Amino acid sequence: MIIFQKLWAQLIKGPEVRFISHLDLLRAMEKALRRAGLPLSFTRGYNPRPRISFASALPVGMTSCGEYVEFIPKNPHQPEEFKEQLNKQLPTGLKIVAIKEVAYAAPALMALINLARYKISFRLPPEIKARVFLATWRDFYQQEEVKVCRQTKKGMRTFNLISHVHDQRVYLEGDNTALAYIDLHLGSRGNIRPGELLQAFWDFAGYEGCQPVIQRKGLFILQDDCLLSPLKIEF
Amino acid sequence: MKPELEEILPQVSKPTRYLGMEWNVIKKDHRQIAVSFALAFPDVYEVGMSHLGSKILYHIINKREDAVAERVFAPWTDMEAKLREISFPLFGLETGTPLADFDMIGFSLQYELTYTNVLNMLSLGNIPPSQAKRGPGDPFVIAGGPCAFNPEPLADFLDLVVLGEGEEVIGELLTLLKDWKEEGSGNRREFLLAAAQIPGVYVPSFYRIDYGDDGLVLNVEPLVAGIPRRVEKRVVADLNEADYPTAPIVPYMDVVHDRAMIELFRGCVRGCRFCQAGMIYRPVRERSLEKNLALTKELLQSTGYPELSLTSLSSSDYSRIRELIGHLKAHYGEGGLRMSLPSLRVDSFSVNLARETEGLRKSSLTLAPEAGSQRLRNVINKNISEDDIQEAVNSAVAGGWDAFKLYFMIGLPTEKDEDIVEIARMAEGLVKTRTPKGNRGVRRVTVSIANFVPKPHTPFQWVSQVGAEELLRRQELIRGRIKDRRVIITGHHPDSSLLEGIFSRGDRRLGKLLLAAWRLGCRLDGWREHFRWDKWQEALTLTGIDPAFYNRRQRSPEEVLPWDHLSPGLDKGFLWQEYERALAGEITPDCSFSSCSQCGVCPTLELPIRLRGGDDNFPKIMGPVD
Repeated sequence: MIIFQKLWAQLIKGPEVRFISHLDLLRAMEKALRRAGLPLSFTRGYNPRPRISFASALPVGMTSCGEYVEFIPKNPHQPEEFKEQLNKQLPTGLKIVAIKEVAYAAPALMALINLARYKISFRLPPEIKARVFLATWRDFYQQEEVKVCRQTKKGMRTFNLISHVHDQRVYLEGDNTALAYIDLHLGSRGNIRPGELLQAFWDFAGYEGCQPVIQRKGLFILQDDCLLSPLKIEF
Repeated sequence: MKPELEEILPQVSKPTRYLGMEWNVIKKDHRQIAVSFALAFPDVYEVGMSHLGSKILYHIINKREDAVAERVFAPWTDMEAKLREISFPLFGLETGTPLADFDMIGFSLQYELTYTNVLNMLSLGNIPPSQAKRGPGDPFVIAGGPCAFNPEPLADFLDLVVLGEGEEVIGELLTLLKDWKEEGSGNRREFLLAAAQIPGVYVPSFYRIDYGDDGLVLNVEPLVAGIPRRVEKRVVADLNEADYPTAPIVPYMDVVHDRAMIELFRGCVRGCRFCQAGMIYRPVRERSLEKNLALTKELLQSTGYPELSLTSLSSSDYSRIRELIGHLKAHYGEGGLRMSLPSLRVDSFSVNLARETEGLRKSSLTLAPEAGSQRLRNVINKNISEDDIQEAVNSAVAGGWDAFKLYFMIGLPTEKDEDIVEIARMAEGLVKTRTPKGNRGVRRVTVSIANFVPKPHTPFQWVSQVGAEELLRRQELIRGRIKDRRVIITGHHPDSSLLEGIFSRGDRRLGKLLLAAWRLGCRLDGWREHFRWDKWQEALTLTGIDPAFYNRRQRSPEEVLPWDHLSPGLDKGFLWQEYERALAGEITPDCSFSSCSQCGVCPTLELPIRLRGGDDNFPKIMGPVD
């Protein structure tokens, strides 16, 4: 039996490619790998697929400085060389910033990662006073339950947004710009999007800010109340 | 990216269409460049990005240091609404340069139902749609592509039209444009006069059309001395010498043909009488095996595509197709390269080629018998027999395919009910195909029924189109004959085919119809969800145009056709002779294997006549040119 190499890499998705969907990103990565002469191994079966997978799909329109992707190359490579060669073939806006080889038996990245950190900046309406906004923000996150309905493949489902929030913090800058850091749980209970959380806040507050820019700051493994970067864990 | 765009893109569907930062994109600083060209495709991104001709021109123009080409596509309706809402002009994808700031805008006319998109794109670019109203600061609006062989419905909107292949003429036009700009007179007429001297260039405004009382064209008269009475198309004589894009743009989104493409040969002389491409792209010119292999290597390296399409009008007719596939498999099979052969001939040879290229993955196999009965296939010169079709399906079933798509047309000249029911009979027969051992069969046969639209420069350019009710009746006739539930019939709406029929053989008087329909909101007419037949009928009423004059009228052989002064090199006498042979049910064999059919293309274009059968088949007498 052939033992394959398993590589985990941290990827930046910049503003140039923020409108590229998850599936399109995956296909762009596959083509970049082919150009770089770094063939992947393929899944077996009737419809073989190259073995590349992302830890979590990034919503369209968002940038990220910490996406994680797993490669199973056809032939073993020096991780750093793999990274260098791939970076030369990646379109503007995409860059591998860190890479690491893990044991082939390591669990899937998707199963490990359970928390996403987002940075959201938006402008408040000029008439909204800072104190009022901060008080409303606190009240919103002190609720036990914020219900939203969403159409899923299994029909209409109700989510409690608040139960997905692990932690949050908000800062107000000059000219009524707010900067929020929000940590959301990922995984088995279904994921919520920061955009819908923000929308629920506007509904609660009774006014609406504008031009929200959302960035995923990173994906983490939450363990015993500690946040670990996936590449910091040894396998 | 401009902040206005940043703000609207999250609010529209498929924002990837409007980004312009794909792999292999070429961005140039317009201030450092003498001439700028917008390659305008009057359909959405994913359609336009599948078009090989545009890739070729993009590559050729951008290779020049003094020129820049950018792409622009028709925006989807949601994007159009946003652009209009904030008064943001339509732009070249590469640098966001407004359309009006380009020196020249070239539309690729692939299909009549994109004509309103041409007007809409000009309007979104703040460019006067009427060529007569354009002034010194406005771009020149030009067009090419198959529909450019009858661009008359768009004559009011186009400064000039290029007939035939663009590889060479585009450079000549750009050089002329550059000189004209440097000279600085700003006199548009001066430029157009000079352009009209370039072979293959047609300036509609330099011709007067005289009409008789019955509405027929009496005469087409050049208004200016020294311009040709008949404009001949351009061709690239040797495909091996032609520039080919080996580093094409690789889209992010899933476009219609998302794969690397090599063009094995150009033209097709099978001579199907309904097929405009087979008539206007003559003669056949093959690219050498060595050249195709060299291009493939560069192409795969620069794009990273896992799939290669062996493109042409009838790929299995490439004389070295087996060797080519063998080489490609030997070189790239290991790396998991998939190959696809579009436009397969209907026979077991072609299916066996498909078996070699497709490997394990079997999607459904598409075959185009075009007509159900042998009699009607003879009329349209689709020279395949029912045995060919059955053998093709046998071979495919043995190779592991279990789903088939069959293309047919209805409304063909001389078609009777007994021809139509043959479609049903054939589909019902083919679905019962089993391997000799009986262990594999057919899961599904999808019968796609298109409505025949007569096209200019074909032997059927004189015939009347069949009307909507009758087309529907014929569709139902087929449906009623299908008993096997594995056979699925898909038909097309006759109304859009009839609209296509108005414009395909239209004249200049249709310009006002286009304008009226566009003003009423017609656009993206090729997309069923946006096709508004009611609006088109309103536009017909408003402009007093009788659609039947264009689509439902049999022409006489003496009639001056609105496109007679535009020549793909074919002899009109040849087309008429082919029409008569069609009516008599006589076939005309492929000239590359049999004798020269004297269509007139080679002598008119001063190309050597190359027949695969050898010199014996060289025509003894060549008819007069025109």
